[in-house]
Amino acid sequence: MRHTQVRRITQLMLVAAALAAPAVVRAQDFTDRFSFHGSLVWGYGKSDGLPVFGVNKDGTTDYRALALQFRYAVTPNDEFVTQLLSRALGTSPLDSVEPSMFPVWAYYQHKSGDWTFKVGRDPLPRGIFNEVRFIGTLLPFYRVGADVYGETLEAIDGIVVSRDWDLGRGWGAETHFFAGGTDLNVLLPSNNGVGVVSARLEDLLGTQLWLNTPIQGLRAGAFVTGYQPVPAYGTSNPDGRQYTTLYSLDGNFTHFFTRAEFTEFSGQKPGKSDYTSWYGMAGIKVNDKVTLAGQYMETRRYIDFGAPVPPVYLKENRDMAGSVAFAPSANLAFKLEAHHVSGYSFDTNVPTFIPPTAPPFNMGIAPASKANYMIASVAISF
Amino acid sequence: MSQFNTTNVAPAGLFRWLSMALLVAVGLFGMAAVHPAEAQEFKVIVNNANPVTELSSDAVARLFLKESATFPGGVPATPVEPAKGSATRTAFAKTVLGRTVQSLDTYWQEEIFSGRDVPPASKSTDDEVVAFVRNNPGAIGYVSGAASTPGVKVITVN
Repeated sequence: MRHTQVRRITQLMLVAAALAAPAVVRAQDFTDRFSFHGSLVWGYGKSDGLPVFGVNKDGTTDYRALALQFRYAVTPNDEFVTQLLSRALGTSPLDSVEPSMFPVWAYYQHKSGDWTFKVGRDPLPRGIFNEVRFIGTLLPFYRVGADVYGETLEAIDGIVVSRDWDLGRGWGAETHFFAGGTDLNVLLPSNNGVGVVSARLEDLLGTQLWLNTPIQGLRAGAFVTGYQPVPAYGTSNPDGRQYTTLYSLDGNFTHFFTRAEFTEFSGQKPGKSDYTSWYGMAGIKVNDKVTLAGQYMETRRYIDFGAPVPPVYLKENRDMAGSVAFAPSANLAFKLEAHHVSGYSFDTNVPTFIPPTAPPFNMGIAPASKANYMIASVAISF
Repeated sequence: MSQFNTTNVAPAGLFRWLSMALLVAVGLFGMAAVHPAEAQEFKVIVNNANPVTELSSDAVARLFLKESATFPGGVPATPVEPAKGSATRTAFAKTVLGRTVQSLDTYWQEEIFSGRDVPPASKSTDDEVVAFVRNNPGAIGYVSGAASTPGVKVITVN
């Protein structure tokens, strides 16, 4: 986190604290008002060839996500919340840019009737899993839809305003509006290997809408946001802004679940997608403790080589996965999952393009590289 | 993505090994027993100053799931419940919330770790739940059917 962000968050928190009713708190009150929650997912991963998502051929146990959440209720409607995150990403290049532990959230929350206001570094409502993407006891796989969620738009430095609506006859809606800025980390190949490019997405404005249906567990969502990358990267729209959308269908029922999400990042050229990714997931809850799940994910990236070479939409990544999870309780889960990956997105460079040598200068694309990997993990939360 | 490495990995024995491991795991754990919720009577109570005398089961569920922060009429609500593991809590979860204890725990994990909210306060005994409701005008709680409820009002849940 940059110093300017820390300063901004601190200022926001101080303003929020001043607005909240100050209270003289006795020791007993403190314990009543303070709560502490945590989550740990730890895994062993091994690939049969290329390294992917930090999992290599040698196998790694340096693979975990620890979240510690502290909450303090100033009043029943006013809370300070911070969540610390520590991740180990195996051999992934991302491991080198992320602090060993950092405050992924630090915000003040005020509730007024059906309205909720958050200010500070807030969890960003985005799709089904964004806020809980590291909580292993809630996920059927070690991670969910990694290409859909990416290493960005996880939290927002700014404000989030939320409201639930009862639409009658079993219908309901959740609306979230937000403004601020966020971080972006992207794995990109270079002549020196795959590295991480970091940027900020500023002047970010957007919304997440959920429509809850009368069928319990079935809902549909849409997320839309626009922002200004700093520093600017790629060929931007004339106004310099870029856009991300995410559409979700979430069906979570007593004996099974089915989910699908599609995201699109755009901005290089008006009307063109820079990046699209989607996943579909389905699972059967064999009983209260055992869940079987399957997932398919596919990602495409628009690459503009500049004249005279025509641009291409590269099918960058495809991931087919299956998992079995055993959860003796809601706070403990053991998972075993296998993935088959093909494409051009690995933790090391793989052959991708075959440059044209003669007109009409169409870029050739190398055969997709492939790898299989597995993760055995245990997740706990309290 | 570059043009100078050429590594293609064919699916090898890894998948066969994993398939066997998955089957073994399902075999070992697939027969795990589901403990049925133990039915038990319970009473829903509010503070004597609260004008509410009856609530729908759905309205009570919305308060205890913190989907609603107020009673019908706008009075702010503070739910309180017995400690985890109590038979009263299991019966209430099944009857009013329509959930097993495990699915309710999962619900609260989603609420906690999405930053939204935390579960209602819990008390060790029925007497403590009654005392909390008696001392807090907006409180709503539930206790076992056999519990004594002096100084609070038992409401009807439809």
